[in-house]
Amino acid sequence: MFAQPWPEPLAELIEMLKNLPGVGKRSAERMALSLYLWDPAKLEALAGNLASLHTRIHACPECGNLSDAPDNGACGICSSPVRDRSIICVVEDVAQIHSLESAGVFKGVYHVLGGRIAPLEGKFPESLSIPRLEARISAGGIREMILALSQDIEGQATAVYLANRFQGRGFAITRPARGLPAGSDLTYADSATIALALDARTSLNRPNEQEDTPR
Amino acid sequence: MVNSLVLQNFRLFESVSLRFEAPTVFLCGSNGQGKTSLLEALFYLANLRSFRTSRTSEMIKIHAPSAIVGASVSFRDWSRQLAVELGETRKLVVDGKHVPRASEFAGSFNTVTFLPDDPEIITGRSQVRRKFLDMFISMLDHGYFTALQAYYNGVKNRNCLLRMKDTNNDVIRSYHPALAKYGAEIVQAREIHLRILSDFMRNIMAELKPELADLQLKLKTVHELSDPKIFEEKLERNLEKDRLNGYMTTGPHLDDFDFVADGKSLKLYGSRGQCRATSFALKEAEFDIVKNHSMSKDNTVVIVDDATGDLDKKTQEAFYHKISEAKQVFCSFTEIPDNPLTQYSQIVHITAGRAV
Repeated sequence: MFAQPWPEPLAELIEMLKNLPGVGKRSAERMALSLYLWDPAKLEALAGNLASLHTRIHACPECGNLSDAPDNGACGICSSPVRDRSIICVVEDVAQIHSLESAGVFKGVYHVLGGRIAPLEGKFPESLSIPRLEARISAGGIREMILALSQDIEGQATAVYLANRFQGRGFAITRPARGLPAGSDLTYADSATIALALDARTSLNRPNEQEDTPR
Repeated sequence: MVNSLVLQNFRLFESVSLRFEAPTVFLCGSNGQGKTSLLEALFYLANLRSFRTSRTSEMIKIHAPSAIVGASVSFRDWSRQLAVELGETRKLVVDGKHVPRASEFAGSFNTVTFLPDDPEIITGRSQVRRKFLDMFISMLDHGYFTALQAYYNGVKNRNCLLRMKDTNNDVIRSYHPALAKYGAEIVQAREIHLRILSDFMRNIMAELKPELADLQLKLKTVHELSDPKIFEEKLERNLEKDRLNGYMTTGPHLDDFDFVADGKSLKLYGSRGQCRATSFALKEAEFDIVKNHSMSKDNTVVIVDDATGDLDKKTQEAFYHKISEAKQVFCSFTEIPDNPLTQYSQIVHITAGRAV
């Protein structure tokens, strides 16, 4: 006994929706059926939106962030007059720019690497936008490069690679501190986080009475 | 403790549901009836791996698409429902909710096993010893497990780079600091825990096999690798050699340790009986340490699979007396044993994949 298959167009749509992150077969079926019940005008608007996604959005030629500026122009951050161009924060993906921006603290500019050095996933330095980063740095005026990469071993290796590569170029190379999340209770932190937080502890001595500085 | 166990299409069990009411459960039945499979299922829920096989398909009943192992467990002041579906992919469910990561599932309780294959830890290949040691330390130190995962991931990535002809050495080197950091942590932890195991084992051996009372567990890796700086220098020195070989030629992933008594390696010179007794003492020492450790004290389950048959009566009695200190004990026997624990135990008879 075989279940009655979906009509071909719907089956095709379901297959496509299944490519979205977090969407399995069941969710894709529900989405497809719900789309079918939409008002045709609304569906058309959605289709238009999807079809023109790549003509309306492109990667910023400066940093790799998403940009909707006309004529392949730079993104909002790169073209903003108030951002500090002497500090570059290197991230793996566009999504991380949004997380960092939501904190509202960072006033520098970004550089999207497009991944990390992960040979097992087929990612090597050549697959990343390092030449573009090199060009931006060679243009001069950089005071600091922040390597905001993931904490897994591939992210650590990528940070080491970039730090070695840009060593001695006259600017600071840093990475964000690791440790306890703000507003959380020590009781509920996992052991790896506590270890990192203890490793990177900061002194509360007044500057003039500093004796043993923590490592 | 484990309050109930449900199996569907697991090994030869089509569908079985068991309630455990006592801290000691004896599983009785003839050979090939499914006693070990039940113990395997319990072990799987704690560790997300089997002690018999590395192939999931072997645990699924023939012609069935998938197997389900579920249990209700309560330890300390909490309880939870665990379920695993083993099929083409593995699905983990805790309290009715799907959990994506193994770390959120495993470690609900700890297991110490006594299995007929235990002497292999002494006589078998180095992987067997590493596996034992890694599982033992992970029970006591979560940081160790994290370091182990990161380290192995780093080794695989570096090996992948080593095997590519046109890789720039600087790319390979970028993995060195993290590998050295995690690698050194692993060597340190192994040194400490082998020392503790040695101490406990000597006490047990003094009773069990006095001629082996000076037993020592010796790590083969050079002690220097416990310093991340020296570890990193070694990686640098070995870089060309590693490229030639196509794999990382030094580090705790290739580590081994030896059981040495009276200056001689038991693996090479030990008699069958000596190896048997030593592996037994090793597991007993593991149990002694785990049951007194704050992280594993109240959630340790002992699993004994037909492993005490060749011990004399006095040793057996001492053994069962000791393991009764665990939160819960599961033992398999071919017939109900004449054993001091029997009167306090729940006895489950197992015949052809059915439990009575």
